[in-house]
Amino acid sequence: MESVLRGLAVYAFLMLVFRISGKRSLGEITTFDFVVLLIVAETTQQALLGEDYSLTNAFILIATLMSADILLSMWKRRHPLVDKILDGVPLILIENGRLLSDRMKRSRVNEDDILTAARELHGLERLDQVKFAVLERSGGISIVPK
Amino acid sequence: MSPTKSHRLEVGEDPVFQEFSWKAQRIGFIVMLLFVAAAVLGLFGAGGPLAESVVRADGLEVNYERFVRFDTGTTIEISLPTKAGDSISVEIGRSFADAVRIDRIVPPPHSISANPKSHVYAFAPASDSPSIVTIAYAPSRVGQLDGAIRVNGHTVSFRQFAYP
Repeated sequence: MESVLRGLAVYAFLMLVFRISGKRSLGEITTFDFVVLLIVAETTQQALLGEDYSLTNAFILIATLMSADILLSMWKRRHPLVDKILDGVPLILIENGRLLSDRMKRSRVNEDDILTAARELHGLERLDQVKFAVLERSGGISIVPK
Repeated sequence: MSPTKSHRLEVGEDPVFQEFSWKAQRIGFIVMLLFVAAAVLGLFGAGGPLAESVVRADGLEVNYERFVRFDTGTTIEISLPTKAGDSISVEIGRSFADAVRIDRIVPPPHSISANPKSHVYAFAPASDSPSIVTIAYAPSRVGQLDGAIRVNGHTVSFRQFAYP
């Protein structure tokens, strides 16, 4: 039982922390973000395992984490509100070519991020070629060219 | 799922296999939930309603975990049927003593000796009764562990299962 409780506690805490840190933290990941993630993973591992390095404990933890994830995805599908709370909602950053700078500021996205997405996805050269830019729930930026 | 006739999109769709794979996933998920539920109940040790057990004989009481894990600490609590002033010797059967690594005994024994059948831990006379001896140990073998504890002539035996 202890392993299951540990797994659920860590799952819930990680979900909370990543939700607080916002979409940008994982959307377009930089090398440093990646290093931080590795450190988080390492710390989590110790909290999860404690001093129990048995196979049984590892199997229970993996099954607990995966089950929690599947159950949560089922719950999200049934209840749109839960889905919104856990995964957030998409946010329009450029509407018909007009920059919505307040939204960009609050979601910590700058023009460079949008230009990067525009170049990578559509090979666009300038911001005025972008009709819509949307910060998706996944944390990535999607671009609709003019 | 009915197969779609797409002649334009070059995609390796296989509805029959997809159907099979969805079914397998659903069954797998249920099995996984049952596994987690068993863990919550304590069938894999480390807490839970079914994890602990107790055996009693002649006032001797041994609390132990039914299910333990390889190389992971667990404890046995022995409540002794002693009167004040009794000296106590706790004998742990050889087969059990050989299958575990004893980390700590509280209170610490006065002397430790071994004979072909058991390890003997002798304690100074108890000032109160009943006194409790806690043995912290970790299984060094996987599978069934048959334990026998003998205290001043009273014997209890118990069984543990050590998961890998």
